[in-house]
Amino acid sequence: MNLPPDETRLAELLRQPPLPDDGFSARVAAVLPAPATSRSFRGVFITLGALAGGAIALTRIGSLGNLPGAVEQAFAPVAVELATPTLWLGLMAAAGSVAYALFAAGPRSTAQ
Amino acid sequence: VTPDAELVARVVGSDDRSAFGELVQRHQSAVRHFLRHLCRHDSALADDLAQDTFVQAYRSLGRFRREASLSTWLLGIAYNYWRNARRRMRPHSPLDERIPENAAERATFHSDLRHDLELALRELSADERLAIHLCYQQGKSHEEIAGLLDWPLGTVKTHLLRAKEKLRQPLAAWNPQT
Repeated sequence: MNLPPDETRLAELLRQPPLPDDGFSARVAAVLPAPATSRSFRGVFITLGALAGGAIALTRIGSLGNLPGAVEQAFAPVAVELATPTLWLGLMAAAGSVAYALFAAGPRSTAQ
Repeated sequence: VTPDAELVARVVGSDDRSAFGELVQRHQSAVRHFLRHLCRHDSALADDLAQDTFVQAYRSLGRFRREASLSTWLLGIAYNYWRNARRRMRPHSPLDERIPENAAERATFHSDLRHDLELALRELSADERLAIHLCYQQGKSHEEIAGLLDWPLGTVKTHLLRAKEKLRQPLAAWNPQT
């Protein structure tokens, strides 16, 4: 920043020597949050859960060819229940909670 | 010297903590000076707030958009932490009004001119002192100060103008030819 002469003089007078670190950086390093591995672990858990669920379903229905019939049979009572509006409300609340838990950011930033 | 932007990219991309350590070392002086100014030289409180500032910066670095320089962005976080601390502490300890009077601080006056200047600075309002600190001690532009403090640009200029008017007399006494 180019300053006029009297302002340069003011800047010189106000100039402060840099503060020595004196272990400050080490103190900051010591309190940094743990490495963010939760997101990658979450992906692994979701994949393993989906594979396990798929494997269990396959053992129940025998082969993939039986899948449409099995699905129809399994979901027939559910289709009746889905006609209830309160169930929809509950499902939406649950889906919202899961979505928030999975995708919400960490602590709110105070940064500008 | 590795540019800030490269260090930021290393922290965001691969959680490189040594890169973040380098950023802390590089900017700790400016952030701590700023907070000491705001905390009226309560260096323990200022350093606690500075530590919180850098931890928050670490968490938010992915959202740093380079619209401002990294140092201005850090000072913005520091300013928010100070405002929160002031809100919490105001009933007990008015951070704005405490004037440094201890022997160690008086000993830092290297000359009578600096002493006079310090006395003149005490005559400024808190906002005028803050504007002077950011402009002359942190080297921030008027626009950066306005963005950092969320003040209109005209307010920054007015505070600086009034502050300089108030400081002119002690400066002129020590430098009659100007």
